Amino acid sequence: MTPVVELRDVTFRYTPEGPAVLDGVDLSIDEGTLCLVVGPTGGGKSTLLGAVPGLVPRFTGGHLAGTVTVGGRSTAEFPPRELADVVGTVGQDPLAGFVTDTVADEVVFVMENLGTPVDVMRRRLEDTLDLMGLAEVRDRPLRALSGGQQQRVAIAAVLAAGPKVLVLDEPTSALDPAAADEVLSAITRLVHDVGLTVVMAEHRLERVVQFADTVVVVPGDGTVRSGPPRDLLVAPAPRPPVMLLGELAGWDPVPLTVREARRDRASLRECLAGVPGPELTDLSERPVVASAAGVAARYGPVVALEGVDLELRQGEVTALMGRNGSGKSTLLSLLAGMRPPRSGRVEVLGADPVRLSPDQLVRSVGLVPQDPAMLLFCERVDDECAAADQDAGAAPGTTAALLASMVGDVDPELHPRDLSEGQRLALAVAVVMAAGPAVLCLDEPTRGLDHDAKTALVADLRRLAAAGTSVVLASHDVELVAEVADRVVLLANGRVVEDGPARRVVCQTPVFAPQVARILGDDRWLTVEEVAGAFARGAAGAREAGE
Amino acid sequence: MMVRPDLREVAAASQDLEAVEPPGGAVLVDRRGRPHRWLHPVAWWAWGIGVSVAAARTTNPLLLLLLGVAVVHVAVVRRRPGPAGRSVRMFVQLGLFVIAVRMVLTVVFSAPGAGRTVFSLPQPPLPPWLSGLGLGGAVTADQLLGAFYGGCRLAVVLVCFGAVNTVSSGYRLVRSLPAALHEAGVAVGVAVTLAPELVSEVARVRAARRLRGRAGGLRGVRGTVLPVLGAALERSVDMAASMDVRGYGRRAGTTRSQRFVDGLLLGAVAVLLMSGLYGRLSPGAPGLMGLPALAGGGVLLGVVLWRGSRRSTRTVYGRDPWALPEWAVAGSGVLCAALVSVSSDLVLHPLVAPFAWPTLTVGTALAVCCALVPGVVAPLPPGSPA
Repeated sequence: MTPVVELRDVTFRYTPEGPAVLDGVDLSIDEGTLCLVVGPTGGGKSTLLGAVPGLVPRFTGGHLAGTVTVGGRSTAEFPPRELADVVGTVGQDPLAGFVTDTVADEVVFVMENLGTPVDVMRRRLEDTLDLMGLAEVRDRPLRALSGGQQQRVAIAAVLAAGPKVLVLDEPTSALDPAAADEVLSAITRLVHDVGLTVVMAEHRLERVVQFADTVVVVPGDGTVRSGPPRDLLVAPAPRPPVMLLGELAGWDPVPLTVREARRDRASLRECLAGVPGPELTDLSERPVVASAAGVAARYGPVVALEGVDLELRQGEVTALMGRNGSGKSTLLSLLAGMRPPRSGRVEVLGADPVRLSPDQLVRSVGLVPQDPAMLLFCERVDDECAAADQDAGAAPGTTAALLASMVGDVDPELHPRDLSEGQRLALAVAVVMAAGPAVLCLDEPTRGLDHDAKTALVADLRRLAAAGTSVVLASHDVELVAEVADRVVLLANGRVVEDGPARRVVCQTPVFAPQVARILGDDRWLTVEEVAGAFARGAAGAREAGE
Repeated sequence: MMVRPDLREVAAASQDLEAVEPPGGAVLVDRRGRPHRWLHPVAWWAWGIGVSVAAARTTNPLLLLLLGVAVVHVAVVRRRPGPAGRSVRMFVQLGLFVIAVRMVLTVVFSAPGAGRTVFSLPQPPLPPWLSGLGLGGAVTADQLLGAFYGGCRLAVVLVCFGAVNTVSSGYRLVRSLPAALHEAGVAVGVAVTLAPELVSEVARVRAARRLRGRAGGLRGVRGTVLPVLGAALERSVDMAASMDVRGYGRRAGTTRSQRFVDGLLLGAVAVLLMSGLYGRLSPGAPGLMGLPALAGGGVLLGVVLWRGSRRSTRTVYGRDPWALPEWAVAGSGVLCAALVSVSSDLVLHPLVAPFAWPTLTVGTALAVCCALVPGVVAPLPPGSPA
């Protein structure tokens, strides 16, 4: 196969003296492959992706040495706009890049710029709409589409130019599991049917590993390695649960898909048959610290919530799940006293949160919004911590100590914007927790978090819950929910569809089931950690039986 | 045998659904069998500008009220689908706000009028350097009425602008510009759509401040402005990158010297037009700076546009056609302005001192009817419910 993207001895620095984000990187990507770029945030993944269409260094600044060629054209010679017919790039937030108002106009935009003859344009518009499954919504306004549809429009809007390469930066990070499947199946169809080359970064490996032909690991030290998924995704690199389970069970080769793993599951199921599931603590007797009773909310004519009842108990981790736009964020904003409900009652520690003064509010309920940077407005981390102590009326050093307990030492002189995603989230959580609220709300906390940061978040949330905080999080991340949540509340169209123990709720629908549960078909086991624990106990049991 | 009626109910319900949500991106027709399509944006703008010219020429509150109602009616029946189709409401609110502000300002700062005094405000002593400013004092009926009439005029002009935005998108107008102006037009269009998002950004940042346990106040301003500007900057860089990777601003085939000549010509156009305007507006300027410079600038601008259009490699997909409905809509706007312009001053500017009831004549009543015409003749936009 011929390489369509080639990086030769590429070195990139933001400042001439600064560290090299990419250091002498050689990489070639073959035509017609799906290439998955993995690595920690801030490690150079986005730089690598941006270098392909030439956005790095033209839009980011910095200095790039070496050559990048796409479809035979060098990005040093051709600016991104002259490469539009060879490489299409879609950013993380599709809405941020929309120029026009309707689906058809957006898809046509690139072809108009390229000067495609009108009769060719007409055909290609129809082909692209069909390929991305958008024919039904062609005249709809972009802002009225669902998240999955918007992401598909953003892809269609670069695809219409007929590029050889598609560059996607976390195309599913903001999407619910069903919408993510929809987008990923459209992408794989492009690779299989059209022969497109796709270069894609994604943190949620469990969603994408099965589609990847090649994996490019960007570990963060400036180097880049590429190869088949099974060769590169080995310890200590992050792997999806299906691979971890395969390693634990000693399957060879390690499965990449749930389907492959199911073929081997018989022996594992036999092993686990007699072992009791993990012990669960019953939290239903704990005191209720916050509640919503029959609450409704609207945005203009759109019903966001209708007759929702919810009780949050001390020390319990509750996960709100559901499609994009099902009312999760609205429910969190009601609980955090950001807006009054249209009808119904919200209570936190016996008081209506909307009526609380700001300093009373932070002591009873805290909310970390989807973009944690919204909460931060100082220029230095230590200033931010000091301001948070003052706002919360806490002893000086409280926030800094909370931050250190979560992510260790952080350079206090850094600007919060320059922290990694995980550190920034930890800072926001520390700022909120400094006031010691009884309820901590988190809106999509794992968006943009890499594997290690997510593991750290899980540990932090468990610790906070053990200390008595009631944690409620809205998330699309089924693996996170499986690891951290005690209870799951499923919302659809602004109503509660299901409310119960996490174990029962997530295993009932295949869309929300974590990989381990889907492989084993047994709701006692949701995570690899639990299976490993069962192995240990099983082994101990066997030893006792032997004695 | 209970199943059958249920099934029929389901079928009936699904038919209802189809009536609301058209299937498969199909082209629908309205009640009189005309297909849904976009009206040419220039026609909508001609109508909107025509009605606002009519509104700007009168202070008759009755006429203004009727014009405003007519424009809002058209906007509501021909609005585009989605959130943009609700923007006229925002402009109506803005119009009411303008009327209120204007009246309050008149009450607080104005020289006493000729009519009957309605009420008096205390007059605080002012330092001598502010003696030109009248603060407080007697408020007369003619002042209040005058302010109200003037406020109404401004409000209706604003509502006209909002109505055009409700029925037609700025992007469609940009598409119908000559090729040489297209790129600048897209940039302006994007800037206009980003402005309202800045407002929602402010709301988000203020909400975040409450989450931090901080109330508003002066210290809050800095904490609000910096994150909002930061977010706006990030957003515009994202937008620029997204447009660039989709080939916006391609210069395939143009040489450096051609671009240099373009720049030079554009500079000359700016100099000529500015000096022409200066010459027209300031009485002491040399005669050559007036009309001749203005005309020269106009001709040169034509040359620049022609050069740009000839060289442009862009193509435009599906230009909106200009057919009978376009003539009718644009014509109704022009006619509305004309009918109001030829009406007598007594009708257009009813007296406030002594007070005279505002009246309508046949001509002005016809002008209101003209403003209503697009509500009947314009086709429904695609994507609106059948």
